[in-house]
Amino acid sequence: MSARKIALWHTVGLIDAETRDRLLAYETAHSRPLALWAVFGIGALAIALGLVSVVAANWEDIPGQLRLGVHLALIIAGLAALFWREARLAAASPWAVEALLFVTAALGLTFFGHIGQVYQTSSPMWKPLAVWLVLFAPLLLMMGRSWPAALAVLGGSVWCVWEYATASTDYGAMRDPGTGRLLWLAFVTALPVGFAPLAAWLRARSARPDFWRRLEQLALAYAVAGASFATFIASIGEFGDTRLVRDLASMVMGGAVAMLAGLGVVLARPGISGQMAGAIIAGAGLVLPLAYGANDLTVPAAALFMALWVGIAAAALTAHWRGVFQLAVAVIALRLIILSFELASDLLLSGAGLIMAGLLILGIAWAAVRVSRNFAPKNEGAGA
Amino acid sequence: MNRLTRLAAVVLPVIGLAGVWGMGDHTYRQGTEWEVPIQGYDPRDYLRGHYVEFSYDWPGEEDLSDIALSALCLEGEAPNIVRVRWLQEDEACDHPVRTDSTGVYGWDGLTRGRLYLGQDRAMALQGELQELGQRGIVTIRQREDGSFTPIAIRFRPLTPAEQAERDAQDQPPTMPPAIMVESSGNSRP
Repeated sequence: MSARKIALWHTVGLIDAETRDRLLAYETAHSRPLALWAVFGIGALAIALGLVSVVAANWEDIPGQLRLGVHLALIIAGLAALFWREARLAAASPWAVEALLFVTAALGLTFFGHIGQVYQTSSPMWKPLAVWLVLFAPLLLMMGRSWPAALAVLGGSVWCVWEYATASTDYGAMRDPGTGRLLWLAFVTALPVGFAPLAAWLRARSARPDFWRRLEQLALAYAVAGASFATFIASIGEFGDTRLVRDLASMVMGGAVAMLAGLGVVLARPGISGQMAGAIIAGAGLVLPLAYGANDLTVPAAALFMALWVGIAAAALTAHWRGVFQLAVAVIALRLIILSFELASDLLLSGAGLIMAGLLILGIAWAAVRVSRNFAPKNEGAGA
Repeated sequence: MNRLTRLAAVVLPVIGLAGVWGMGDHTYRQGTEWEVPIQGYDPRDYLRGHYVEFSYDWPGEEDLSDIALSALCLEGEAPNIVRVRWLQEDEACDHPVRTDSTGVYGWDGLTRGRLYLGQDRAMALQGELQELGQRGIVTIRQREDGSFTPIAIRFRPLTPAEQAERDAQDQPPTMPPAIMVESSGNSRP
């Protein structure tokens, strides 16, 4: 709500001066400068990407030792500023601390690339990522205030585990990996979901609840994305062939980790919101083995995907997450449209088929908008 | 939050990164330099930037292209390799090179390699590697345990002998191979 609007209401006589002042005072106290947050986050991301490409350009004219020295000095400066000035900076702007933290962590990650470049080491990507996580995750978890730090932790973990899984199966080190090996990889790739119960537990116990909320949301998003992707693999009938999705046991393993994480969230965060977030993560875990069963079956695979998202919509209704509910409705509508093309792939080949397809899309979109408008819960702010 | 924990959280990355640097530097300086002929090319890695990728063309009579090599023995006086031989598990060898199964090329580590370079030089080298009248040479630093690191790349023109060998390979056969002449003869009634 803008101050300009409130002033206008006063001018046209809708509200008196006292109401206007009270409204303005309330808005100032409760303002969430979304645009500013986004700008800080995007700025920090841009700097991180810039660092990667500055390092990647490999300035051979400058001696490697000197380049590495300057790089490490920058990291030390960032860390020193965080250690001595965190409280003071945070009082002025929490986002400045977040941006500094994110950029320092990004400098740390690019340092590995820089060393690889100067000393010609070509280890697989997961190794520098894993060492980076060990060195920087404690710092990020201790000082993170919002989504950039949460994204660095969860994104770094997800990136690392998938690099590890692909390096262990595709780089030729394992020509025909055994079931035990694949089970281990399924366990490792599911591990980032474990951040959800941790974050849920710390959310009520930390001075930085927003950070833990973001981290929990990101872990939940990883679980949901993984389950959705599993139903996609079932749609294209890839289960049983490709290494990482060859065995049902792998899916059971991944599912079990997610279900445990979901249970952990329910226990760690009492209340409707915690229960629903836990239910979504556990449900996503349940979908993994079921998706294996629906392999190469068009309708069951789509139904499973929609069941997952109907579950998410139901959880959102119960916990009053308006945005999540609307997202779920939109996703289900989109999947229905895709399903119609899967079932009748010749729909686009004739005039009548095109008209049918158009009508179908309009109908589904109309229904989705109606559902989204009429049934979406009033937002309760907090979200998953 | 405990001040000591916070201090540990900022000191850990510094010690860790300095340690990684120190280890990298130490390993890089070890070993004997050898020159290995190469073929091939390629660009870029997300984190480390531009590199050229090449195939080693180990000198020697043995045709090693079809064997999955896990170890080789270099023979000659460094940096000149006279020939290499395929190294069995328990065989003695003064200058071994071995694959690193945990490396980015896995078991292919004796067939392929990469060298990180500035982006301008990588671009220029990519062109040179595709040029025919030249021979690429990579200098590797080989250590006693069989690990090795490529450290430099250069080019020299082909020697007359190499030129002749290449021309012979490029020459299209003027006559069809004997087997084809026979089979076409047999198929006629």
